Amino acid sequence: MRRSARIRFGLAILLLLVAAGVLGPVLAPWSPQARDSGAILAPASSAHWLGTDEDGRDLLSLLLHGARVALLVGWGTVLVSAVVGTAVGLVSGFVGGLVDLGLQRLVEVALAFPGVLLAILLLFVAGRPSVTSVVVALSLTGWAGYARVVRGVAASLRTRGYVQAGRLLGLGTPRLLARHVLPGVAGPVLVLMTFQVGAAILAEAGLSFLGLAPQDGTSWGSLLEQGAVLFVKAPLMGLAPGLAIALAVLGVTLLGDGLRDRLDPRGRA
Amino acid sequence: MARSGGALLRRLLASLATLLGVVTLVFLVVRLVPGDPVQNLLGDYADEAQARALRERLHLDEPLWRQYGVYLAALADGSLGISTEPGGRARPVVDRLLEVFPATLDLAAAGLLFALALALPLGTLSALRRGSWLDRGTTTFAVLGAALPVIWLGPVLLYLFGVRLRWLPLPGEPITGLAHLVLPGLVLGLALAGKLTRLLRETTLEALGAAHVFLAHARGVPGRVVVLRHVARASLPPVVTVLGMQLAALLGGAILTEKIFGRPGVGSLLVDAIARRDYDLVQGSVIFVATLYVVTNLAVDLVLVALDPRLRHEA
Repeated sequence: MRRSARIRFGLAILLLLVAAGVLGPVLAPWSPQARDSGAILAPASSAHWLGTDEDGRDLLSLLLHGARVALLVGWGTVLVSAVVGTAVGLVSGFVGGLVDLGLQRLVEVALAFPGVLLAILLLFVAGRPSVTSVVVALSLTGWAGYARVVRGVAASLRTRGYVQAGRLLGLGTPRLLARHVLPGVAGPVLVLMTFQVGAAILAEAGLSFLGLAPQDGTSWGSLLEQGAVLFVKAPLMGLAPGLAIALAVLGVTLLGDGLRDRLDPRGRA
Repeated sequence: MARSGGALLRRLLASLATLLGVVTLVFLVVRLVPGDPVQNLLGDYADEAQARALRERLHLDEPLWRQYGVYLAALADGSLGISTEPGGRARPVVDRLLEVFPATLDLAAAGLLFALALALPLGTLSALRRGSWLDRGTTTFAVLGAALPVIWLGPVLLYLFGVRLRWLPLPGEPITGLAHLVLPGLVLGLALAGKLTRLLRETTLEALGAAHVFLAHARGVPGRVVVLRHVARASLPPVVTVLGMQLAALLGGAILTEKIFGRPGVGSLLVDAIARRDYDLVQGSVIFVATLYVVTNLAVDLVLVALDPRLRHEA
């Protein structure tokens, strides 16, 4: 797929996801808790477009409500991680020395935890996961990727002429970082953010699948866990939540891909 | 030689520091995150004396730094704590982990093998036949592979090949032979295959443009030899690096894959430990997997040094 097509396709899916997340609860024909006892694991019908689950809840409504959780966890994690990681990376790369050495050890420790592992531990200890605790749990290691990338860029910008000139003019480190270095790292950070939205949505689904779903919302991962064992009886229950997750992740991945190629001409196919 | 020995020592020390950081972070998460382990362990109906006894046994009544000392000492003896089996027998966490670890290793190896078997030819060929239908198809496959969630792909493939076509065994059927590893390995390896394919395509393209490759062609070296000897030597090291970093994702994915396919392993043990609120086992599994990851990354670095002599003298 061409770069512009990838960006456009990714954006379209992302907009769809945002629309579903914002308007979903309004658009949903049923409440996610409403149990239709006359329709348990019902196939698609005019009353339930995608059928119902084991408790007679409307699958389409559940999916629409799930979009909100996916969106909140995805963007929440990315915002927290990007802000923390960029700050750490800027200081680490720009200040250098012992500060850099110490911060890099922290980055390495955070990167030493496979994917959702530390999140599993945190959610387990805290008990009763919520959207907020899932975001905190995923950000606990999520910031490190930003710190590593930003550090590299910041360190290389430190010796650039315009930054040196700023320093000679008497600008302090905070101002140099904010006005002259930060814009330089914006591109890579933006690309990382896009990819991480997808990774966070996947991670949340995985955590929910393992039984650590946020209790204050509907998670696609929990629906998928329910549906995975019901494939034979209710194929839609097994297929639809996974497709929602895959589509959301595909959208942000394509967008991130397109953005990366646009910002980094070397990788162009 | 002396210099490369020093670099090796430094790398070892850095890995040890990372490990200490890992166990410290686990300690901090377990002790500082709100949530009362005593209440979690005993439930709502425990009396005050029971709670106090457990608090003392877990050293929760002592200051944090003392707890940290007790915790490090428990790790140093290698047991990683005590876990209670479903039957009620108490065993060292490390024994329970090592018991199921071979199953996880089988799965991870199957996933890795599958990923490499796809990525090596696809990545190289799509770079050599740049812009062809093969290249375009490979790119699509790579993007899709990275986006399709394991937890969806697993059940779908199980349904297709297990329930409908009956080609491959279903979860719960007795484990015999390698057929049991086909679907889990495929599901686990697909995302990695996608990532590696794209990376190898890029590094191969870059290597193809290098002067020594041009020169090899000019000397009349046969095309196949140029690709295998000159291009691969430059295009593979980045793949090995990323492979090392992706081992973490592979282990994380193994947790989900084991649950989907009902396979025994470290992941299943962890999920079980979460459900049974077995603190020592949850904490021990996390430390075990993270340690494994640090050690494999160290090994990857050493392999890289072997592949690329220039790294031997790097500070």
